[in-house]
Amino acid sequence: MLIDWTTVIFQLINFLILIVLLKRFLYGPIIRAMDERERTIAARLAEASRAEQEAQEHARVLAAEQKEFADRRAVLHDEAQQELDRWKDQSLDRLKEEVAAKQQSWQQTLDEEQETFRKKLKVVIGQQVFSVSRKVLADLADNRLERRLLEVFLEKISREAEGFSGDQGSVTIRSGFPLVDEEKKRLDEGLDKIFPGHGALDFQEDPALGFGLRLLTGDRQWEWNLSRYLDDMEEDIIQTLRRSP
Amino acid sequence: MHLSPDSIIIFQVGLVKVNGTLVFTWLVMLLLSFGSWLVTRRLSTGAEVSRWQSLLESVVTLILGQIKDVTRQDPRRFLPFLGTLFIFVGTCNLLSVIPGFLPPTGSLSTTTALALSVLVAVPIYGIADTGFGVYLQNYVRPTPLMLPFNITGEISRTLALAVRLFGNVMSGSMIGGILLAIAPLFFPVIMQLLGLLTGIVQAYIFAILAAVYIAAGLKIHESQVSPENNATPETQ
Repeated sequence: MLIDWTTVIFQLINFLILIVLLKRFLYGPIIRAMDERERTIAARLAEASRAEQEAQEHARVLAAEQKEFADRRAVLHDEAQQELDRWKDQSLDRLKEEVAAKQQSWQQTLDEEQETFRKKLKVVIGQQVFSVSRKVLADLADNRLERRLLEVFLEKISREAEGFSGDQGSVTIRSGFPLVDEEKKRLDEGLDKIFPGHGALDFQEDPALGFGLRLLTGDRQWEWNLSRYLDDMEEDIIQTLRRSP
Repeated sequence: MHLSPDSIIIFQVGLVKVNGTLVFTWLVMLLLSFGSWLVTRRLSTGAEVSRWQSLLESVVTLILGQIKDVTRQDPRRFLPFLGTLFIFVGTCNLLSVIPGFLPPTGSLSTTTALALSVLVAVPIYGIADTGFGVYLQNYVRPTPLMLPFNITGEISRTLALAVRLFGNVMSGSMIGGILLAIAPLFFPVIMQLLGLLTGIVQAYIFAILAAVYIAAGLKIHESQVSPENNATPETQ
């Protein structure tokens, strides 16, 4: 008989005992360890997932902040650019105005200086002309001219002293150039006709008179002086030049 | 030469004969229990896992996966029974390569005991799952005329389970012994190596068939609950 039923019963019991033993020492601990590990891994995965979500949330927040910063920077940049443009335009306008004012002032000053210079030039030209004229006349003055001057002077006195009897006092004649005797004699003769019985003639030389003569008698005097003519003419011409544009 | 370790009487206490089958079974039980205790007394739940713990976890995970594939249900409630079947049969067959060790699965008494335990476990799981009345009604479905055939099927498949394992293990041992007598130098080694393979395969077949039988009892109930499920119980 291949089957020993006593052994079969013992083997059944042995098998049941082995089930209990393995459940106690193998399946239970192993299953618990695997479950615990699964829970640990699941917890770690959940933690990792949560950390990832937090990281994503942080990334979103960061991206939003970066976008906000970028927008803010763009706005600030635009505002700064507008402010700069405005300042530049204002500065340019102000500078243009200042330059225009300075240019106008400078132009005005220049015009005034030109005008002043022109006027001074005119005066100097006039003065030079008459200076040259005086010099020419002085250089050209000779006996004939001086004699002619005596004649003209005598005619002037004769014309102006009409009705003037004279005080019979001394007569002083001042000349801007030295008178020769002949000339003195001619004056004496001429004055005799105008102021008969006049006193002695007193001839004095006064270079300040230039090409001219001055007669003093009593409280009157007559004078003919080229410088006086020239001075009057010069004054007239200068006034005319100044009035001209 | 012993055809079965049953014939080796170690000692006798009264009418009870303690034979080689029982002794080798106790040795295997001691080895498995002590080894499990050694490994599982310091289990790690972190990332650092010892090699032995990793091996046991792999074995348990493999068994759970196979049970789930067969039963399509939560495999944990079947793990102690089916897992112990596989581990015990597999360990006995693997240890057969040790000279002097006679695998208890080479005893028809042991395989009969294991087959009987399957025979009992199938209705236990079925009744626990569906209830006593519903389970018993499965034997008279689709017609009461099927009752004798169903009972015969239960007995025959249990017998086939027992004899299949016994025959394979016993034949392996016998072939090894015969070849040792004929050509003692080379062929026994090859046969022992083949015995390792066939031993694991037999353990796998035994456990899978037990799972199939248990799942069949459960699927009858499922097919009644959901008529669209046309799955039929496997018998062999």
